[in-house]
Amino acid sequence: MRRRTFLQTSALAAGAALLEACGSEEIVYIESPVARRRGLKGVGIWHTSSCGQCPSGCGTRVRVIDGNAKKVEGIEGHPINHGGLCALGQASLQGLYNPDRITTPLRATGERGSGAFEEIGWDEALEIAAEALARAAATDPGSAGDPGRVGLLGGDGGGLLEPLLKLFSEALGVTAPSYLRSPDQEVERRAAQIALGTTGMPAYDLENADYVLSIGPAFLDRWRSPVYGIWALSQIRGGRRGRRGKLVQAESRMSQTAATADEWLPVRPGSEGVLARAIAGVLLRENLAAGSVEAYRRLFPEPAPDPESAAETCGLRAKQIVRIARELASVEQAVVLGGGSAALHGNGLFNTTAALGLNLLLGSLGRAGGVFEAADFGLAERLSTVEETSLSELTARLAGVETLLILEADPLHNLPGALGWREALAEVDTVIAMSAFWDDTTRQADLVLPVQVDVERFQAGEAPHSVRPVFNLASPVVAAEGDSRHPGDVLLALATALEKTETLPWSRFSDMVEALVREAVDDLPGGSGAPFRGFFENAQDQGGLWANDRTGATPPGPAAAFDGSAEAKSGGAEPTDEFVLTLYESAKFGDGRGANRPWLQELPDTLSTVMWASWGEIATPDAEALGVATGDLLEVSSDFGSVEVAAIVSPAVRPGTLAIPLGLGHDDFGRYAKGRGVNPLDLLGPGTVDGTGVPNLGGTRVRLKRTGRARVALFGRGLRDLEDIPTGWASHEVTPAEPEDKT
Amino acid sequence: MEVSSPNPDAALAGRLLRFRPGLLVASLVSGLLAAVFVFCWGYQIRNGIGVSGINRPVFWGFYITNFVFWIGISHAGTLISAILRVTGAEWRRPVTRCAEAITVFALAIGGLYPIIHLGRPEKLLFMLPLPNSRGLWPNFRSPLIWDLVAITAYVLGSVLYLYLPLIPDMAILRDRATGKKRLFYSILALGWRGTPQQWRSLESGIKVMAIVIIPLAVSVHTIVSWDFAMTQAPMWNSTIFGPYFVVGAIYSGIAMLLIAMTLLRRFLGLETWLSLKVFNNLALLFLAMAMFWGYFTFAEHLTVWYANEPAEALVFWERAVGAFSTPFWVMIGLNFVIPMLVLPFRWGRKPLAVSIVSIGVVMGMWLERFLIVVPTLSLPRLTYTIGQYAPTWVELGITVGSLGAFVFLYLAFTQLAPIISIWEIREGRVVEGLPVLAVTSETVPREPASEEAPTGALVAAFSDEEALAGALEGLQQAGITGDRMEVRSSIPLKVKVPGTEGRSRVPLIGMLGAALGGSSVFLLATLTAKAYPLVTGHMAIIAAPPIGIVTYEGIAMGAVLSTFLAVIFEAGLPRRTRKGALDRFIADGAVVLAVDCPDDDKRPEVEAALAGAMEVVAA
Amino acid sequence: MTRWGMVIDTDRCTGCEACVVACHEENNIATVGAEEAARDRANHWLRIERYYEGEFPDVKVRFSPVLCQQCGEAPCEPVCPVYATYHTDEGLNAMVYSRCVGTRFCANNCPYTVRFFNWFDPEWDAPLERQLNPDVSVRTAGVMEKCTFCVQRIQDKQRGAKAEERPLEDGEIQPACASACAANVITFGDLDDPESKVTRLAHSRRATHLLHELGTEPAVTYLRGEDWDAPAERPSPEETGGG
Repeated sequence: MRRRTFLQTSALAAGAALLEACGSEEIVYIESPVARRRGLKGVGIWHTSSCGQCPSGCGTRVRVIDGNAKKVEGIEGHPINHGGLCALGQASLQGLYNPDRITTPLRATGERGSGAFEEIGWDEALEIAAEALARAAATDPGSAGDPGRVGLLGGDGGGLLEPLLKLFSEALGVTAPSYLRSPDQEVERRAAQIALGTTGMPAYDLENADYVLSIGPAFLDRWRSPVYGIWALSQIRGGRRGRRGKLVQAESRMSQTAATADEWLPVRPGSEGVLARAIAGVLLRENLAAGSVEAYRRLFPEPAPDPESAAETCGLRAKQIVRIARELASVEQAVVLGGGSAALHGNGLFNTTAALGLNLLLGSLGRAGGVFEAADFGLAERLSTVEETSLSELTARLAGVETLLILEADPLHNLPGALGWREALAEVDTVIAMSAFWDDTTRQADLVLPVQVDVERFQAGEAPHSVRPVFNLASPVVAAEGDSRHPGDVLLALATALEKTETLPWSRFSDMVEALVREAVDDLPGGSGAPFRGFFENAQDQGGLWANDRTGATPPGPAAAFDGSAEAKSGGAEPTDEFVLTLYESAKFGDGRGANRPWLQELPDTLSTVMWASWGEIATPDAEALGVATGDLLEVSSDFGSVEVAAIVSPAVRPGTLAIPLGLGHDDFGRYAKGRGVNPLDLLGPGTVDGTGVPNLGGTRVRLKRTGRARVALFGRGLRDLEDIPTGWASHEVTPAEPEDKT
Repeated sequence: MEVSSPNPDAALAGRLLRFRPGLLVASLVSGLLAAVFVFCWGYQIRNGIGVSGINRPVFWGFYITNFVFWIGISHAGTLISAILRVTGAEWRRPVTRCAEAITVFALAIGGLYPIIHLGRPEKLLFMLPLPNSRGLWPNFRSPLIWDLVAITAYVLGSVLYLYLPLIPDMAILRDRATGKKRLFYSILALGWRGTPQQWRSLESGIKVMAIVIIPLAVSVHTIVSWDFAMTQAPMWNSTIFGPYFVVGAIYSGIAMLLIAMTLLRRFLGLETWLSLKVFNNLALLFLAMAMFWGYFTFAEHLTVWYANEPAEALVFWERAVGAFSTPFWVMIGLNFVIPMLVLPFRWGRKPLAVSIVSIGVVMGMWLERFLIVVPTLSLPRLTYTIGQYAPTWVELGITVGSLGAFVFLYLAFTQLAPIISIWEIREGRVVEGLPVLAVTSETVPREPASEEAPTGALVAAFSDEEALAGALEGLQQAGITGDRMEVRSSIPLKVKVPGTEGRSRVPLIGMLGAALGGSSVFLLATLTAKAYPLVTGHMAIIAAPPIGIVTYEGIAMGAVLSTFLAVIFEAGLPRRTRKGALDRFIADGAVVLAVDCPDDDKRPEVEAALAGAMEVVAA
Repeated sequence: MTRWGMVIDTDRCTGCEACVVACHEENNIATVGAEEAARDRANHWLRIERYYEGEFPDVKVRFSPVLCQQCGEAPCEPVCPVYATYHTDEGLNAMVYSRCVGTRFCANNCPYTVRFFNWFDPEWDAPLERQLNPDVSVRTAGVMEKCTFCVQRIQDKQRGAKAEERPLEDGEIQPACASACAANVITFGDLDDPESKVTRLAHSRRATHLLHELGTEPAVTYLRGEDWDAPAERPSPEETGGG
């Protein structure tokens, strides 16, 4: 309803925009308030932008000299990253200037996947794409339920591109697009629905928490915005006078988060839910619950397991569980995070639900330092309210798809091979890939459309997991490499070619955003009453718009009981000849998007210190049993596949488990990533997380074999400090000499 | 006087330079290795130091190991021969020259290694005090600059110390040779005549140098040890390193010398001179050094183990039982256990046995250097950065190749100069009261009389000093004064020759030179630093102790240089070579007396005086 | 006088290594590639050392960002034969790249092993070189390099202040690592200014020096142990101004 009116008004605006923008890049420049400030030769200017390396929406500043980007930093006081930036964000410029970027539209000539392409012009490319889409869209859907012959797949970093893609599907009258996100998000969303009654994602007010129990999420490694997590931690510890919060990480693997935490609960993989239930049990039994017992009983009617049995299942100490529960109850503002690695086991939904459910007992719903519904300005909904198609549905109907449009996503690398995407893709008539880089999927495409990377683009998007609404808005800070275009502009151009201008009247993404903001101006901070042009340009100059106070809604609480099994899965019992495989997104590579940056390849992983390779973390006793030393190449094999990784023997790994980072082993992702390391997803079966279509990344059983070869690039070999400082060490005092002595 | 009995010494000169097929093979092999050395170094210069195996944190590897090793070897000659000379040990005579030669060539190789290590050889210039506009000046605080100065002084000293005693031998060879060879030796002999005055200057020159060389050699290896000891790296920062390195150096030096002597003895058939007695004595010295080395090694490791300071203990245990335990215990075996089991026994001091032990010791001493350089570097205080090191083919090629180059140079030397000092051997026979000359006038081919000889001059060759003494008496009665006669010999004479009284001024000039050298280096290090100040933050521009060190080396440098020049000057060298009537007699050990008697009335008396000569020719 | 110093609060460090990449980005530190990295030749002026303490399951990890400590009594300085590394009046260990002859003695004598050597000439595949920072010279083969406290940023701010005829403000200068850090682990400033944040933090009871016993007088102070100090002692988020 609301949308309709919006579309009419915007249609008028679009006319003007059309005249303005006659296709040349220059005009985009003149339109951009930031780029208009050209520096003197050789003088560096910091332009505000927004980080597009992951969906979290950190605000950035880019130093530009003579049209070249030199350095990226965080915007001070930005509500997500507060001036910081993660390694991946820092390395974004090596994406911008990556030697293996795609800079012209390409058409596959030879056999699909043969890598034979020919350069073509944009006009021809758009023609081909439009034609393919039109043909597939026109194919008569046999029955009413038939999802049609067009497939749309988006990436996770789109911001307002996501609703635009939905709008695009509406315009074509085809099935709504799917998006390739890190799989735990979907589980978390469902779990939050069940446990907290939220519709969107839960958001946490971490910086005000006194006690954070994170069951699963490695929120300092790569989960949502690690930068926010890191900043929040700095507030929890010593950000407030005389008040120091505690962080407890319950995770089967020693992640950087676990390493940083005040206490690490090395829970058995798959038993996270049981741990959460046991803690709840203690709270209930000892009447420590500050929150709503009734709500929790509604979620989990049956009695919680007692600490002893739970400790048995989780491989922890009963006393530990009891203590944690009491500590949680003893502080004002405790909060429990769920998801992450806990969400990716067969019983992930239970693990996450049980974890989030604890917040009911702690009364941390909608309270400072508690859990909220993610807040936003509702801009995406203004564009399109279509429900996205789940990835599993798309996977299921892939065989029937004639034309598949992939927008900045690499399913062939990021989905387990067992899901059969590679085979299915071979059957699709036309695969159109919009990407800035060669990757596993782009290689298989028939048509490749080069798109711009974050700092080249006009960016607009809302931060998805924030307790306060954040709308990032940024115009390009450098000229686009080669003939690459804004993905939004390409979609709009396709719409024009398909004569869908009635739904998509704009010629440029920036026009669409401007129209959208003009429409929503009164709901935006500082928007009402201000002269629009100035308001819009200032917003871009400061990197976006955000409210300074929490506006995230308080979750209503559970409507019904959790109906799944409440059992621990895949326990990874005592060390056998089989190991329980744990896959995780490493801080530097994420799901693999960082792998084409030399900086990140050579960045020593903080815990293993490995560079330029895949590795497997194995516990010291297991290694001794197998006669394996750090650096030995191991053959890791499951029922579905086998890979070769360098062993990293560590005293901080739960015996019986083997952890391998995701993100390497690309068929093609430029010279720095191609064929480097392994993709552990090849080890997985087709299993999914119960109650969701999400692939199950946890709990696969693997066998280890020594290859007899050894080679790995390590930056740090020593494991322990000479001064072997005991756990919880005491600092000794030094009195620095007086200044005058030091000159 | 068993003139009839075959006298080996006369043959010595000839035998030394005789060519043997075995040598050809040896030279070919070593020459090939030398070529490998050149190729590998060229490859590294072309492709950068990265082709070596050194890395972070093991920034020093084989190159520095070899540097220390070869400088150590170089302590064989000069130091040993100097000590023996100063103490007047008679058995030194056949040893000194081949020892000193080792020094010179070992230095030539060792001196290259720091340059190889730099990777960019041309950058060596940056370390020299050359006036420039780039704000460059040597930092005299740096042990590397001490190295530079010390090794320069040492090279200078060793070369001159080798050359000085070589001059009379060159003259002997000159007088025996003809054609090109003669020209070659004439040049090196600088026109040496062998008059008593020349002998006086030469001998005092050799004495002075011997005395200067000893502290110089000690200081050189001490300074090399300070490259390590001055740091605060675990098991480097050690006060014992100075003496430890010097002892190790002498130890490995003697080992190399013993190997060389055994080979020379075998290849050149020098059994007579490089006698079992010589081997026995040297082996005893060797044994003493082995004990010293064992003591120092024990002391070094005991203190570390006992004090148990974490960083040092880490290195210690890695050596004793860890990654480096194999080379460590092999080193102990080769350098201490085996010598202790072999050398104390007489059979163990025979050439073959002792040279086998020596080969072990040379390898063991190389291992010792390696174990000093690498373990410490690979085990830093911040254990996170623990490293590892493996040499590449380039380093191996250069290491092995340099050994080849050394052997090649040494062999070449044996073919060009007498590897045993002829005149010193002769002198030795005189001391033992044995005859020197082994030829009669018949065996000596006549040279045409020299045209320069004064008219009416008589030239007489005497078999030995006594004969000469008699003649001199007669001449004295005949009233012939010193200025009318010239005595020449291939060994220094005891007999008083009229007109050759007085003392040599060489020592005095040597001392002056020392003062000059010391003060000029001191001024270089102080004044220039003052006149040409660089920003050193809070560091004083001039640091006293380091300047003391370089000044010390300056003194040594000045002393050796001035002593040499003094000898040359006092002996009136270099001068054109004058053919004398009986040069060949001198070459064979005779003493020649030339008398100038123009007026005929004295002639009979003179002839009477010369009656004891084995040959008299009239000019 | 000025003496540049840094305080690193290890209690807040999560080992995210954003600072390490930021350092590469700012200082034109070349990556050496997989082969050379495997030969221990990777260059990271700043590294996150991690040490394990205790045994599973009660194992703890300690992160400690280590960079050049800019020692007041720097062991690396006297051993350099050509003054390629020397002490500036503002207390920095400066490297004069064009002087360096490559003896690598300084690196051996650095107890913190924070010096790095260019074994080969650095390479950037086009167009990566377009990112290079023109304020920082690239180093050729055979030259030693290390953390400079981002001296180019220091000088830039000093010039700016001079041009505006005002004194430098505390916290105005931010090295790349400090401005990259979301947790404000790193505080940079003038140790000779008794009022500066860095000085106040350096006098904290949690203050320690790395290898204090060696007497190198580092300009970097580490805050160890749990932080219960008042915020007054530390920069609040809005205080830490970006470069």
